[in-house]
Amino acid sequence: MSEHAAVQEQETREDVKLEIRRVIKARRSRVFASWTTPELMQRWFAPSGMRVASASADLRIGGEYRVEIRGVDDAVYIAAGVYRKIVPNELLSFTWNNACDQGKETLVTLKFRDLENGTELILTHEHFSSADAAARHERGWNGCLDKLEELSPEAS
Amino acid sequence: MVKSNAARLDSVFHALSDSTRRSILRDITAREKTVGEIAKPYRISLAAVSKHLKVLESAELIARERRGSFQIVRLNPAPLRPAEEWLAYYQKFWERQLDALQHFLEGEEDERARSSARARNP
Repeated sequence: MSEHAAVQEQETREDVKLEIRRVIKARRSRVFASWTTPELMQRWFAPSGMRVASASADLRIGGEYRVEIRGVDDAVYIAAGVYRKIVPNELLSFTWNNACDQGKETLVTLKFRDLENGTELILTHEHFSSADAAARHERGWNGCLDKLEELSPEAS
Repeated sequence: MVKSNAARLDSVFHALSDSTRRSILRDITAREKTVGEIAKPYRISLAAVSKHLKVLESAELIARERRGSFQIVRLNPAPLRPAEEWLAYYQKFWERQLDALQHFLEGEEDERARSSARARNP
């Protein structure tokens, strides 16, 4: 027990994290709205060759968002989760649940900052190790890796 | 212990979620080390290091071998690959999403600039 506690203390909780930074030539409020307004999400959230079939966003802490993307053969990909932190035009944090990887809930955080020539957007995706392993099913990952190929038709 | 792919991936991500464990993995990348050598740079007890090694071992990221009175620890990089692929997938996915967002918003800006230019020079 004491040994376990010692390791716990040393656990830094510094997760495996993915970070992407972009500068977008648009107003900060417009960039923020693009992530949070269904009508705008409709217009960019689907990869090329696919379309957003529906988008909803209940923009409050604990509120849900859901984007349904359809491919040519009507294959459906659903991105959904709940909002964790909302600071209008500054920060947006939401859980990211792929319908195909059950039980796995990761966290996406967006930070918006004014620059002279536009808006800096920093996206982080983390908590890949937060889910309870026992609750997981193998088909979850396999299903997602299949979807991955469908979502990245030009990538291969 | 036989683990499903999903459970294996979870244990790899769990192993990597701690900076001491990541640092230990880096330390043994170049060459195998004894447990004592591994523990040296850290201000934690040997018992705590041993716990970290157990987590790494359970994710099959390291292999231990007893040589005389020493325990040799060696990196086993193979299980890192699915984790890297998973992260690479999301990297690609978000890059594409941000491309699409940028295209959408900057297209709007161009449109605005064109229409205001038209308004100025009818």
